[in-house]
Amino acid sequence: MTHEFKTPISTISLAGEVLSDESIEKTPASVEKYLKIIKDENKRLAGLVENVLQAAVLDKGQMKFKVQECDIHQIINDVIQSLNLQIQNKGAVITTELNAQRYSLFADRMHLGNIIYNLIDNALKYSKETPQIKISTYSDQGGISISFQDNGIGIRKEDQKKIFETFYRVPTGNIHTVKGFGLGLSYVKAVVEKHTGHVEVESEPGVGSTFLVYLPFINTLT
Amino acid sequence: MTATPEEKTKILLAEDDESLGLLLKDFLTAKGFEVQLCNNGKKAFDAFSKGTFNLCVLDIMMPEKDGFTVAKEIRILNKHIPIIFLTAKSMKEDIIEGFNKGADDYITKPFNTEELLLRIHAVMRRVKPAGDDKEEFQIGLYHFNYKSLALEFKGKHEKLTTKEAELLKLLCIHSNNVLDRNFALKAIWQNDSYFNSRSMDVYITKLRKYLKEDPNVQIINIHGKGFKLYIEKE
Repeated sequence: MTHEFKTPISTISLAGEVLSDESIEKTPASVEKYLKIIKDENKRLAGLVENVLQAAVLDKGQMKFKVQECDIHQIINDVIQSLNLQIQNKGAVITTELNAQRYSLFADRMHLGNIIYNLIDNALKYSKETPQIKISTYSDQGGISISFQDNGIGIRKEDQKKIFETFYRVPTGNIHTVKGFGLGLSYVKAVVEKHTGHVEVESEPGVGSTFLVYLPFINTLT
Repeated sequence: MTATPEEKTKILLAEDDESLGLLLKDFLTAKGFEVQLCNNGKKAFDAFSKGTFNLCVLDIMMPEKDGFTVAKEIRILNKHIPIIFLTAKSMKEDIIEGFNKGADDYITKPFNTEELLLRIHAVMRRVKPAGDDKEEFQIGLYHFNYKSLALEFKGKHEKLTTKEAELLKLLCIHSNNVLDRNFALKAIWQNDSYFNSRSMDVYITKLRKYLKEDPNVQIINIHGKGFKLYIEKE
């Protein structure tokens, strides 16, 4: 985790030193470039702090929920839309099979949007060259299931339970490809469980992963 | 390879964070270094294999190949090039592993630029062979000024090329001792290929010609080893 904090701190510090070092020649364009780096890294740092604070709130069970009627299919489509740039950059193909007959439930829209975002974002990040992601929904009498299937790097059996723990990251030695510090899936689990649901994963290294989220129509929030 | 006075110290910089890499490159360039930035370990090692560098500054946690592996592979190709790790990994065991992989120094993020520069200069000073800072040499009746590329004999001045001066300086540092052929080739030509070896022989011939006026000075071939600048003491 320290790596994620130390890099933006070093960058902001270095940009400040370069800007104030009179022996380094600067043009208006280079000053603008360094100021933009400071702003961007500050934003990145603020996001990291926010994540850690959110983890503390999760840990204490103090997360706030605003319950309203939510259209799950609409949320899925909105999240895909918001990830459009990442999808294009990765050359990913996302298909949806939104077959749930009943797809409306009382829940916190923002948190549901966030967990769907986290699961699609992970599928994009932990992928091979061309991510193929399939999002499906189906419903039964009790609730709605949302499945996120990818053809990514997969997760070893021994890591499959641990990935939902706060700050857990699958060990990769010193190979550092995906930034983050292991909060996304613990957040997903906490939000789903607050909605009286559950989340599980099936995965095979080198083949891909499927995350399954089940949300009952009647939950403790309502 | 030691930079000549005309050459900038060339740094291989491996840093996967785009903004930090860009800033470090700008900063070190502004401080007089020539910097090649690579955004992952694999690219860094490829660049090292193909290019010529005086110093490597490596992050550890990188995509494709981590900094420890890059350092280990660099050490197989080059035992002497200084390597500095610049990393967020600050645990004692990481630092020990860094030095075990052949690092000359280990700097943790966040770092201070003044300290970074001082450490780079300190490492570069340590890597220079004894006598490397010396710029003037007496070779029998000849006086050789490395910095001004001048060889003087009884008021007659010969202007040397940079490579001639580099080679003569190495011979002077090792005077009356054997200058290893491969060491000289790597120090001046960056590798000891057959082509460079023949090129060095041409330079030795030229230096012999410049030094022929003093019978007490000779460049002797030491078969299978290299050359000796023999200066007979009066």
